[in-house]
Amino acid sequence: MELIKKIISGIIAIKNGMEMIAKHAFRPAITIQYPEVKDQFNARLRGHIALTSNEDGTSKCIDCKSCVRVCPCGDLIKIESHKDAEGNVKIDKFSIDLGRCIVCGNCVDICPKSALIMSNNYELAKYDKEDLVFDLEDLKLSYEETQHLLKELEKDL
Amino acid sequence: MYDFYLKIFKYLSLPKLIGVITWPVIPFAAIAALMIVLVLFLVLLERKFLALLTIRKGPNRVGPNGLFQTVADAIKLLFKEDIIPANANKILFTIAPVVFFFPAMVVYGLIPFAHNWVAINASCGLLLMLAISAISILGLLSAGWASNNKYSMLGAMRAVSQAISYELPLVLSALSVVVLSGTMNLNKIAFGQGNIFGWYIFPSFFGFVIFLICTLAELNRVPFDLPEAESELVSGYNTEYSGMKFALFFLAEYAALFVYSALIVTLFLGGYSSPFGGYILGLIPYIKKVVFLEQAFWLMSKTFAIILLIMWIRATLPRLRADQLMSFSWKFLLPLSFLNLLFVALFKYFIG
Amino acid sequence: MITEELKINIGPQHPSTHGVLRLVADLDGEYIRDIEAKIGYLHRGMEKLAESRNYHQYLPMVDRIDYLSGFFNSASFCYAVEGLAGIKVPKRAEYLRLITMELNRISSHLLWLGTFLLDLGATSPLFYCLREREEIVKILENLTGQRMMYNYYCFGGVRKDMPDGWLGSVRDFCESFPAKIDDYEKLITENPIFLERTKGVGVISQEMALDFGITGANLRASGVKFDARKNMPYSVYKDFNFDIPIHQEGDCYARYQVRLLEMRESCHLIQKAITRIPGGASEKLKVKRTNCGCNKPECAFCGDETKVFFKKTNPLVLKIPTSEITTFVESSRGLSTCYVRANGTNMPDRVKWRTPSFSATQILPELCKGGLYADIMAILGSLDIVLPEVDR
Repeated sequence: MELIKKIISGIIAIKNGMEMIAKHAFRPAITIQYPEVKDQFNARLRGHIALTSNEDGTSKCIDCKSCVRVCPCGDLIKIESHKDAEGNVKIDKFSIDLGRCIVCGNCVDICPKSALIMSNNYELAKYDKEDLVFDLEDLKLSYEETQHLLKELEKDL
Repeated sequence: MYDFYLKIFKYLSLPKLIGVITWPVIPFAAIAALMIVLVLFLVLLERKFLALLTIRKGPNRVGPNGLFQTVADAIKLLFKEDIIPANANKILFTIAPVVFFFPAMVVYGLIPFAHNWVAINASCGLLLMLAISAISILGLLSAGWASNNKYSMLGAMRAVSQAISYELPLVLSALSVVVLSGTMNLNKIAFGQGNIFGWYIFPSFFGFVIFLICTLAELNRVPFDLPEAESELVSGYNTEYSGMKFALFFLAEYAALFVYSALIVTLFLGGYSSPFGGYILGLIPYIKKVVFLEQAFWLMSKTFAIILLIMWIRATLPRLRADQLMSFSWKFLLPLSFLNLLFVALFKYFIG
Repeated sequence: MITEELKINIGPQHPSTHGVLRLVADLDGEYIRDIEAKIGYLHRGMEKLAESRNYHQYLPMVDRIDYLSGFFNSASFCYAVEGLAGIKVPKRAEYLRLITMELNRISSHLLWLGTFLLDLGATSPLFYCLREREEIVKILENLTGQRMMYNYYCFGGVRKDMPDGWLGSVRDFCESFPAKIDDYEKLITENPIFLERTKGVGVISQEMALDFGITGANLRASGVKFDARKNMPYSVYKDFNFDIPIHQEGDCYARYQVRLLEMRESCHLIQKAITRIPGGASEKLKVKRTNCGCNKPECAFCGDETKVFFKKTNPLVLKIPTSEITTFVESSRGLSTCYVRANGTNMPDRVKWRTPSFSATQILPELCKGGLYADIMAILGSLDIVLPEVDR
């Protein structure tokens, strides 16, 4: 009869479903025990913005304000500089409000001197919102780190 | 055992009257301790087992492999603020968790853990067990009513209608076991099933299936967990409870889970009898006295097999809608349980 | 006995999340007399923001209109601006756009499947779906650098070519994926409880669908053969030969089946596109380019077809003369439209988005009336409504 056929097909369907779930019990667990084990990323990961530096520790920025004009978020980047005796540009203040940054990468793409770069650091939690305004000392990478990141990006392209 | 217990009092030179009076208390104390440990273990087992089925690890930070997770949860719930909503019925609101928890605890005394190891050796144990478990529905209803909340009221009404509809097939399938064994004493029912071919699951297989389905409905578990459906009613009758009262609801559910599984095992799967007929410990001449350990082992392992089956069903199936639930019980399970009873009666008359 | 009607607020914070949607329901016991949807809790002013930003500043914000299918919105805005400014896109970039859009469609449908089944009560398929989605998100992270707000398309192509080994990982994914869909079908499609919950529930007839402006899988499950990839082709969809799944019943079960078939079709499309992409995998292309070195436009290795952009637009000087354009893109929820009007400066005059979930929210009261309370979740889940798209 119709009813018996419906019952039997229902029971077989439920048995198939339960078998499928039991099959998954034998897969290894996909949990990664953070923070003892961390995931690996390639060089393109967009962490927070960082400043590259030359061999003597100064940054390459020439204060053209292109990054400010391209940023979608308004006055996120604040730069102040002065010109020293030889006509080079020395940066006094460079601050980025990382709490409002949307990590789009527009500023990194447009910088003419490659002074801005995306670092791999994504663990930025702080207890206070004002601590997220990174100034020149926090943003600057050391020379070795700069070379390392640039080499990774070269290999990637 | 009784003489041994009285000998202790004579040894300590205390009057014999104290021994006679305190003897009945010991089984209850033992069962209460067993219940607390079991419930703590069951909550963790459910989380770990569901995590295994969904390719994750369960809790594994508190204690080795997460063993103390439930203790941590209970301590957290103890420290929470105890909120009673304004315009709520204070007396009913406070009594509801107790009325819900109490029957689940009392019923532990009726299960035979080994031969003659029952706290209450009642001659109508099965009837008493089913009747007492039905009291907890009152707790549910008063929880929903006393919360002064539309969601809780809806959840409680659904829960009560579901519980009442699924009582009937439950009792009728248990009745088929009474027909097969001739007694309602749980100890004698378990003793009457010998090796695996004498288990009552074989004559009354549909009774076993119906009893299992009705157990899921009585425990408010998936696929019948409409009263506490998270996606629709935000936890139903539980919504306004916090702190220790919520812990009582939560623990009562798991206590009832163990008791119903033990009941299924005792009725249909042979209780404490081993599938081989005799006991391995009974063959060795010197340890014959501790054969109750092996019987308790068989009961526990079969109960946990049924508990794992129930949790496996939870991981697989979606939820039933309210009217589908009702029509499933009244139009399908009830006639089937009548047919099962008829079949078992004919079986007992001609063959058994 | 006199019974009253109960007014229930299925509030903005809700465990059955699709975003922040508020439903005010008039109940009579378990039956629904009337239901009203109140939206606006996630309004961020996306269209107004465009009037004070130039085109390059607005491009990263477009991903966030529907964050589960960010590539489609980005694509429709890029096609609009490229159409206005007359920028050409090389073929390799178009193929990359197609592959990423189809991958995004699969990941959005996977998340839909997991949450739909979670609403109905089955808790394990969510974890399996999220596991598959994790693979796709990792592939896209290797390509673009982020897991969700990709910001990968630019005016004139895509920003960067693919990294080494990327095409191989996409091929491995596409080979292992149809077996997983078979698993989900075995678990759910014949399940009697699921059939009872979704068959005959929330039926959208053809006239009702066309009246309310429903598009996407909801429309195709009611029997109307409409897909923007076939009717108004964009990108390189003209070169491919693929099916559009159609069902006639129009209930929740038909919508579920149509979306599963769409996932399979997307998998086939990606496999075909991988074999046909001009230049092939990037590690081989680099080697062949250095070997060839001719720099002629027709060359198969260093020519025009194998670049990812012809010329990058300068964000400081891009100005578009006065004109307007409308582009259509088939996103994972339906037909997504972008209207851009330029006025000669470097900022757009008006940008208007037409999103498919907005029409789907309008039909919700019609479908729920007369049904049971537990049906709201099944209908809401099967329509695939995402609130950021509705409120913009």
